[in-house]
Amino acid sequence: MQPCFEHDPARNSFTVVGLYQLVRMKICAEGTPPPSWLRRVLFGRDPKRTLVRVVILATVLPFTFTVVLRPVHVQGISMVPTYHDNRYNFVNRLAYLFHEPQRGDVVVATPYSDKKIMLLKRIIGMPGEIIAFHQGRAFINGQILEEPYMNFQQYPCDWEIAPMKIGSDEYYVVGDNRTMPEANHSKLIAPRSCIMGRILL
Amino acid sequence: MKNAISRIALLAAIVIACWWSWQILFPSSEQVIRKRLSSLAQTASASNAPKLAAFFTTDAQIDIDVSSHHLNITGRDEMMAAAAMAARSQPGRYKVEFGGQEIEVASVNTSAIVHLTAKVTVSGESDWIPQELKITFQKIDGNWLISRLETVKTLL
Repeated sequence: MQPCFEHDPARNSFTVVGLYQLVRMKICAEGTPPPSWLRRVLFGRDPKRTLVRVVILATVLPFTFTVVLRPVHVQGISMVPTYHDNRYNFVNRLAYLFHEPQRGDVVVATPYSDKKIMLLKRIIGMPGEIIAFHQGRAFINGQILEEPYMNFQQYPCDWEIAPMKIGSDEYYVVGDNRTMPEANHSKLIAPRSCIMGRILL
Repeated sequence: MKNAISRIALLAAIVIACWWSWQILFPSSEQVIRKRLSSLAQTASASNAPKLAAFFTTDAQIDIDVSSHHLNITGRDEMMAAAAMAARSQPGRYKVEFGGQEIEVASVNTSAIVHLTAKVTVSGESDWIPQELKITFQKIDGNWLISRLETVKTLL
């Protein structure tokens, strides 16, 4: 319907009559005043549906970001160049639901009482193995470990660590930044229960 | 019906108020130790050696083994001297926080073992150092005092 002008002889003025006015007249005729813009912004057109949406989001989001994908703030340089300082990432807590951690996986371990403090490391030693470092290269049960994620020419390493046996339910985890002096680099033998999950991105 | 609901609500409010008052007037050993740890962290951050010594028994043992630093202290006097020396070398530069406190109170209620993670932040630096600690408390004359503090090795 096209808007048109209607002449009011009593007031000697013109009024605009259009689609908007017709809609407004219909709403008013049904006895429900049009909702204010603030109410529409806060509760939506249908408050019941909005409430359902809010309840679903309030349930799904905390579950997702605590049980499934835990956001983490990466601090420190021990995983450089793979992961840099002051970045954000997610831990996939369901990654090891159906299988055990694998060598080469970048995992998040929680060895402290304060579970908010986590360590981002790479698994290089599996349960029951003997691990050692000689001239910067990792040796597993006396065999050199191939590490395609490491660039020893660009990032040389000179670590010397005597052979040590990993327990039956433990993993040897270490950072990728092996240019750091061995004494300053935090590495650990992490029990399986300490491994929270695999890094997502 | 309305009367019954209001009576139940009133009763529930009275029970909650009684429980809350009981908690404040007669806190459990665990609550007292948590409060004590919180004050210990504040005092350690302020580098106040005499106040810090008051948290320990006279024959307290401190055994710190962090990477290249080894420190063995026995008794309050030795501890105050070490704390004063540390404060002089770097005054007011640390912030100590305790997290993840796991408190096991012995059945006789005279001793407790606490596992916690101490987080030390050096002012002006974004990096911080976490360190796992094991603290043994003893109840002496109604006060929970630290009889042994040792570092726990978590990293290789």
